[in-house]
Amino acid sequence: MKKIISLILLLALFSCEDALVEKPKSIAVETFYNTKLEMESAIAAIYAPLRTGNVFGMNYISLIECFTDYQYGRGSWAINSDFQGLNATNIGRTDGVWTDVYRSIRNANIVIMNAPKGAQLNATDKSQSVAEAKFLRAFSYFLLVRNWAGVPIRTEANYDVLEVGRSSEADVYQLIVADLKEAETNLPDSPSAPGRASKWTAKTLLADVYFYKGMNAEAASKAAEVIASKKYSLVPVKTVNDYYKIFGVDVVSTAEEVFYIKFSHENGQSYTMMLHHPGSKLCGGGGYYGIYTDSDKNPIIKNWNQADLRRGLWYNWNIGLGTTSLLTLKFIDPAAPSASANANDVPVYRYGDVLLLSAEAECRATGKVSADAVERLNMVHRRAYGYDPLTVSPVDFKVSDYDKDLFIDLVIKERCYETACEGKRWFDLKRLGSAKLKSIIKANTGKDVADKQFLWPIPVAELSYNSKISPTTDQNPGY
Amino acid sequence: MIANLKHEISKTFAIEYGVKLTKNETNKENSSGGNRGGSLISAIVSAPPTLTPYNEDGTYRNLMTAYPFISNAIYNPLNYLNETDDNSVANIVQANASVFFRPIEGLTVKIFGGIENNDSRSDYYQSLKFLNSQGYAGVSTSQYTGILNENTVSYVKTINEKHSLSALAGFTYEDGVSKGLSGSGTGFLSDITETANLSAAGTPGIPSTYYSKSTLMSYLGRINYTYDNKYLFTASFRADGSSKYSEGGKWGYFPSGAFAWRVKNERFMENIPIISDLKLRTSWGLTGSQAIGAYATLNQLASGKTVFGKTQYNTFAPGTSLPGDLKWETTEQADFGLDVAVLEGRFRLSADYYIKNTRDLLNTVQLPPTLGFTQTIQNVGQIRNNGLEFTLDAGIFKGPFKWDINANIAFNKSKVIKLYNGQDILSGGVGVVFINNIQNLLREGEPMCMFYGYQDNGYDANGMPQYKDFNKDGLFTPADRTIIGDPNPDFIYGLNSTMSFKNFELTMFWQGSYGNDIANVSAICNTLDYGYGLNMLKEVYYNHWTPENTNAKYPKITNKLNMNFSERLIEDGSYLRLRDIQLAYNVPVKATNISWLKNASIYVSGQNLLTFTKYSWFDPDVNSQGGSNSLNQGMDYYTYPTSKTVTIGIKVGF
Repeated sequence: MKKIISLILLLALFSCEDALVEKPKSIAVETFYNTKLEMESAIAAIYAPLRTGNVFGMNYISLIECFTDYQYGRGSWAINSDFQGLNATNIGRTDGVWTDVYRSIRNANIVIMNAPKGAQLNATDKSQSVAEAKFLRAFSYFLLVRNWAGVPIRTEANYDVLEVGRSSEADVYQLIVADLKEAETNLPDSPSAPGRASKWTAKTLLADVYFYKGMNAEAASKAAEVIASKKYSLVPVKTVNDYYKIFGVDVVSTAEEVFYIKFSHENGQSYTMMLHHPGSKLCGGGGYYGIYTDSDKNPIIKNWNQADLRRGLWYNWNIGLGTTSLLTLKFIDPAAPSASANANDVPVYRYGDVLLLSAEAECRATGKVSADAVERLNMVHRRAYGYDPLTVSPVDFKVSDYDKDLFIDLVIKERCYETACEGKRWFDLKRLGSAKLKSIIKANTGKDVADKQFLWPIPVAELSYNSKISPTTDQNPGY
Repeated sequence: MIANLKHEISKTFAIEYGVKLTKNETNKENSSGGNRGGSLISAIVSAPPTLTPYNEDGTYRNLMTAYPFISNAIYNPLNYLNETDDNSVANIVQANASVFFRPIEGLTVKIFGGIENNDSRSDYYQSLKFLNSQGYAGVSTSQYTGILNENTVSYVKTINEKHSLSALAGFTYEDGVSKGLSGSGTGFLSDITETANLSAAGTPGIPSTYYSKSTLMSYLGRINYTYDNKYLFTASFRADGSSKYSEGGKWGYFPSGAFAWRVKNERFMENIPIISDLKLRTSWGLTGSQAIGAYATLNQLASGKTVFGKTQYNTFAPGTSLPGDLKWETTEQADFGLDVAVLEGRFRLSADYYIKNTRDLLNTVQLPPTLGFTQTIQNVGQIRNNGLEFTLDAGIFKGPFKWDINANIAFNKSKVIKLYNGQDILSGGVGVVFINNIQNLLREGEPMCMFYGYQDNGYDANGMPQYKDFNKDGLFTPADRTIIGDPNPDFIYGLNSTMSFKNFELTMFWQGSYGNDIANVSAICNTLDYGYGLNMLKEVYYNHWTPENTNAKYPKITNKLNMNFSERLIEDGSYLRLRDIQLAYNVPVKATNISWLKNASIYVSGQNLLTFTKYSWFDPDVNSQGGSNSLNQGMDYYTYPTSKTVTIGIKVGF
């Protein structure tokens, strides 16, 4: 018997080290990133954090819309439209943007670091994977730098360093431009699926980066490349309802889609729900009616030509403030199975953006109003009035009527109408400089913009757990 | 259902078999967390008293559209109560078998095998009548299988009737495998199917499964030696190997020893008859904790989904928790105790002093969000707990009026001795509407889990709350935070009392806690969150800041408050509660001559009927976020409160 016992103990001794090794039935980081399929799923993981309710799924784009001069926040979003900086509730929202966008950057860095080592990847697979990751990393940093200025830079070189301090705004832009130059060279000519980046997506983003920084000649030339590629065209529209060929829930992709964040009922967004009142049933999951405007009190809306089909993309709904309250019709999903399952894609760049950017940047760079620039503006304008974008129409603007300043104002006005509810206006005003921004917002809303409105605070969680950023000297002004 | 069988096959051989079947059914209500009416408790407290729960046509009132300024989070509480169903059933089988072999007198070889199987299923359904709901059904099942094998050899020997020796050595192995499967769907035509037909959902969710396994292996040995029933020695040693820890840190070694002196059995005690029992005890030992989940040290990829076109694509990336190198958390404990009984056991007192030094404390550590990971588990440092515990049993009165009490009190002091990276460790912040970062903190030299926030400094000229510039740098920044409260009680106590007179019996159970603070997070939405149509305490109306009343308890009524976690949310959580009281009348059965009736009693009992506390919210016995590894202790955040119940009953025995 004693022999048996010692045998058991002996066997146990031999087997135990092996039994204590965990075999988790999950994929280990160390063995991944070798095949094309593995790489594809790692790249898809860079997109995922940008789609959350914190970012393009609702909060980020909603905040930017609250900061416009044509809409107002309601409830907990109302305070944003006072332009006096963020309160704690909304800082909670910007904290969420920060966290998720940095998760996207982490996932991009993992791809940039691992793709070149992929055992079963050919040279093109490797360079395309890195290019797509760099495009998305640039996209993320561009989002961050516009709202927080200089932020901590995390690349493949320091992605696992615990604490990293703030970099200068110039350094962040340098990284963005370098990443996009590689992306525009190595990305494929067409996206491998709608919603993914191509060479032309990268060029559009690079044009926008130059444009935002006031490098108008570079911006115009990048936009011209995109236009010359003939990859995109405006979707013709005859009636208001035709706009659902662009913004509708069933649209898989369109000729004017340059870069959209994609959603479906199975994996949807909450932004559409944010925009509607439960009574209107235009969002199947109810509605926060968290952003609204007023057809009588807001001058931009009031002065909007009723013949403009885009003005038809709004509906009056009494949210308790009277019958002139107005909600958007651009994004509707009556069949959404729940509040967070709306299937409308959220556009980041449409071809109309590229045309208007090109027109304005060229005019700013040359100081002249060219026939080409006016034609690009007209393409967008005609379509909005139900005309063929490519044919001369009665609503066309004429070159002879405009000098540089008038033309630029006209393009910015057209951008406001064209991109309403798409998270654009605040940045269009910001790039005009703080004095001009303040005067435009004052004129349209009667409100003064506090300086602390321009940048968001570094999250307290970052200050608490990252000793390289001092809460007393490194925080953005006003917080 | 329990069954136990024991069979002595021969003098040297025996087998034992036991099995236990348990069925647990649970019905849950949505209760915890939320804000501005976004959870059951929050909605009950926050719903505007100006509105009725139903519309005139009998449908539920939609509170979210009741006023243009109202919170978009607020639900009609009846939605949660009536239109959601959340229940789970667990079937648990525990079976074990042992083989005993006794080759010689005193020597026993025992081989024990046990298996636990826990199959459970949870069903959640949200009906079409729930606000803006198109019907949601979710079903999840889980299977846990645990195996335990113990192989021990024990030997008992008494020599000369004075030396009593027993020894045990063995090897044990246990593992646990958890598996689960869940599915869901949204969009149902009818509530009839509830969770019985997920495939009827308009939008099916993605099914998910999980698997985890962990293993624990131990070698153990123990020797007990008793001399003349006066001196008792124990020495033991165990080596534990856990799969959860990193290579090189899997094994922990835990020796311990104990000594007790039964003083009463000494000859000199025979002259002190008033003392009926006296025993002194001391012990020292190391114990290990493996209170972490499996796979915390592995670099694993988490899967997810994203959309391109209208199609879902797989994503693989690391999760949000950063894996790290981990080893056993070890606690060294020394204990000194005294048991004394007097007057033939009528009064018994036990007193214990202990000191516990824990090193390699396992805790969740938050990471800077820019890292892309939000948290990690680490062996963070050393803490010390020391304390005193007393238990007193007393038969105060004997005779027709009988009164027995059992009282206990425990004092514990915790202190963070060392944090390995020298920096404070902050818990993950809880945020409620405009107050973010409600946090606890570990700091060297301080007790565990202190509340960390700002010190209040009255109001500015506009009635906005001000905070002290704690670090005196002229700026208001997160560096001005300091320790503002202590969730650890000075002592906790309890009292059981049983009084009987003739056929009446009155029992009471009192319980209390003294000196602990509570962070009253629940109060934020209902005392400070103005302008969203939420129900408020009456006190807010009578005592808020106005130009005339600048020293008010509450700030100016405005929706533009910018507030922080500060002393104003910290309250004294001391309480004394009558947990249980029962008055029973035992029917004198014998006098009735009813032979088939063995006993009968009539009773009335009540639970939680009386609570003495200065705490302002509904239940001081609260710890909303406090799990075992959690730093977020002492928080009251819309937890389902303890209920008061009164029961009247009859007990009859045949």
